[in-house]
Amino acid sequence: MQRELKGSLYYLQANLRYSFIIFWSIMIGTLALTILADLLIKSEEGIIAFNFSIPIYIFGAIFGFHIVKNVIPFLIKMGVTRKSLFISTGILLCGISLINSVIANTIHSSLERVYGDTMGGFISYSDGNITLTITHFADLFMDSTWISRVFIDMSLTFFFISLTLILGLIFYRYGLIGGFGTLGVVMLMFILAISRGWVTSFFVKLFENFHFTFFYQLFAVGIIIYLLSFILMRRITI
Amino acid sequence: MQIEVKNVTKKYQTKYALENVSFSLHEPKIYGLLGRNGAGKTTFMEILAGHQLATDGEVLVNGKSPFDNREVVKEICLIKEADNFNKDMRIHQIIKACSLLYPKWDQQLADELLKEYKLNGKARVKTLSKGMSSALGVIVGLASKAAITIFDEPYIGMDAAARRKFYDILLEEYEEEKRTIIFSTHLIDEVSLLFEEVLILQEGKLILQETADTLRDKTCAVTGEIEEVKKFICNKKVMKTKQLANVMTAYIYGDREEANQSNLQVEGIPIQDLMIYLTETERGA
Repeated sequence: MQRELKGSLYYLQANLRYSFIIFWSIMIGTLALTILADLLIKSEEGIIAFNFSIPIYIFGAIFGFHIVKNVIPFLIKMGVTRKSLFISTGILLCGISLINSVIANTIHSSLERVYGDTMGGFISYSDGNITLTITHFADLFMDSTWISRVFIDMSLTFFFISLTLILGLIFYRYGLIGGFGTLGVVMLMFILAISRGWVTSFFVKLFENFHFTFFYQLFAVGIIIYLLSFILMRRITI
Repeated sequence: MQIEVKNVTKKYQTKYALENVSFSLHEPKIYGLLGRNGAGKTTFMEILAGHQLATDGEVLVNGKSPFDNREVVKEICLIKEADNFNKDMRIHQIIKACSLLYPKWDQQLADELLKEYKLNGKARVKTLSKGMSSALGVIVGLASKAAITIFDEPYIGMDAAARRKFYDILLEEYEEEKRTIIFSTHLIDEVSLLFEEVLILQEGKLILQETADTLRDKTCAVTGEIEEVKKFICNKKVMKTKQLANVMTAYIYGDREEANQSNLQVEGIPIQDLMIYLTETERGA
């Protein structure tokens, strides 16, 4: 089991490394260009906002699908059991959520230290005039720290990865009919919830008393979704 | 490792890929799994490798089901004609993963074969030509040293010299350490001499399982005047007959010795032709 886990973890990380390097190269490149643009073209009317969190959530969401399509079938072909697959995928998903969040927020905090100037939670990186800001979701409702931002990003990334992983597995096992059928049912339930006012009251209640524990709950929901994915993974064929 | 196939049926919607197939493979041999397109060969190999589940019946390896059973599947390596590896990965990454996942992995052999087939470890799978991609599959299959190694058309795109090299290495490795090798190919003429036992599938059913020696002894083509040939083949299992002017050739399944004693011209039937004639007969039946 140990060797099998080591093998599948190696395969997973080797598979991820390529897209991971490309993703961060683009992110850092874009950030560098943004800073350069801010230094060269100082606009007094507009502010350039840069956000790390949304791209890492999107990366996580895409990665959930990617694992189902490009990793799981190949690991089964190489003799990895579904249980080991489930464990190694879980380790990797937690790992990638944490690593991405740590990198994003370390860069964020480093820039914060370099420039130092803040305004209403938003950081400005310019000489007096606010022309470039790096934003984070946490700044909207709390005095965020590196740890709180990392946890928020990690819980949201893990939630999105689990969601797309399970959705990918539904598409993989039951085809387009099963996948879109499931999406259709979810959409119907969502519309029903909106029409009954449940969604509105949920968000009103959530933001009235918004607390950091929401992200613990979100992380727990992500874990539950991930655990449920084993039902689909258990008898997966290729 | 003993393989027992018990009444295996695999149905895809309304079509049967395998229909109540039963047979056993007891010894480590080189088995030729033959049949026309859509005969059910790949489906059988996928069930044996634990990639698929049978709709009905079971495939047992040493008495255990291979599906999701690490104890069994770590001893099985299935190399298919394509899509064996993730295209974004580098060759050395695939080799490293295989070395961790196949317990009997032979790294020295893998390195030698990489050199032999001139594959650069840093190259990504998507940059390989068809032949190079097949060579990578062949390398993994051979170096895995899995007790059951299955090759399903492993050399698509490989040139004749590369294929010859593969057969030579396969035989060398097999001589060194006997293992069950199941070989499915359409280039039967090229590999038929390697086969020790032949299985032929036709439309999801097993129509023949025989050792290669028995096949050579028990099948022949007799040629002569129509009347003489007709007289000889009476009460014999005839796979196919051909007529040209007053001359008839009959491909028969029976005692070759008896044919040798007649006045007819007797020739052996290559396994490829045998497969064609047998499956034609079955189709016509």
